[in-house]
Amino acid sequence: MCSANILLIEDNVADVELTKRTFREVGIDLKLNVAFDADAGLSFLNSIDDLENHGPSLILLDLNLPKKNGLELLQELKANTKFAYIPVIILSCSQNPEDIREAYKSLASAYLHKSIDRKEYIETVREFKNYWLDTVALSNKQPLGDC
Amino acid sequence: MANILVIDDEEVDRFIFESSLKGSNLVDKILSFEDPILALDFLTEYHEKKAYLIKEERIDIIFLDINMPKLTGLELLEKLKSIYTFSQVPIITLSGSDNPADIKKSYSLGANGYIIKPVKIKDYTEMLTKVIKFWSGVSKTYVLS
Repeated sequence: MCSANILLIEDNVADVELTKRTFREVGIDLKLNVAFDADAGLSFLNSIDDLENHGPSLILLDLNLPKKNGLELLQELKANTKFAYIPVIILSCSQNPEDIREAYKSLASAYLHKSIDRKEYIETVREFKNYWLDTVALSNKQPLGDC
Repeated sequence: MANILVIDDEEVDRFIFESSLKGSNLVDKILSFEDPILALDFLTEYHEKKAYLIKEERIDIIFLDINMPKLTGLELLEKLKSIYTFSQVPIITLSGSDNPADIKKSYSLGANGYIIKPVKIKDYTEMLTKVIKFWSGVSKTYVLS
């Protein structure tokens, strides 16, 4: 199993459970913190004493959130030097080209489609693992290589 | 099949990079630049002429060395990500070290990955293959117009 420290910001409880289950299925041993809206995500990050060493290696962010939406939160995170270094990966049901363009323009590190098709979603999570957990370097974690 | 652009001032490193992808069925064309300023000129023209609309000229992934004279990889990354065209193109920073400050700065500026250059060509091939496969898969939801 790979280990990972990820903050998932997602308002839909069923989607959270689906993501957790899929991560287990592809062999990701998660330290997953979940925030159910943008402000809860920011509060969580602000509550960590030594964010750079003990904070999340990655943020997975849904776009369709109540109150402040995911795009607004992404822009807020990237404008704040305290949080900007954490790669934010959008995990969204939307395949609207405008959402994708805006996310990349706002410095999302990747945009992944949260498919309702089970097989497709498993494949997306597998691609996520192969790249973000096994291949690239993150600031508080090295690629895990053989996991 | 992806068109790749690599910017690295070290001739040996460019040779290793290109050798790692030689014969890869994932890569169509590799454009290679030694000088980051010439690369920026080329990419500015690419943006202005909307060359990405021509399939053969489209750049799918940019690999950018961090440690370069005249214009560092991080300075170039910042310039490119401020241009709409390149905000939509995966830019992967390359470095020989795992310096946390460089990693943090890369992601702060919108890098789509940070690779620590492996020494062995075999390891480099494996790593670059994973990068290209990821961005080829993600490109299903990755749009530029």
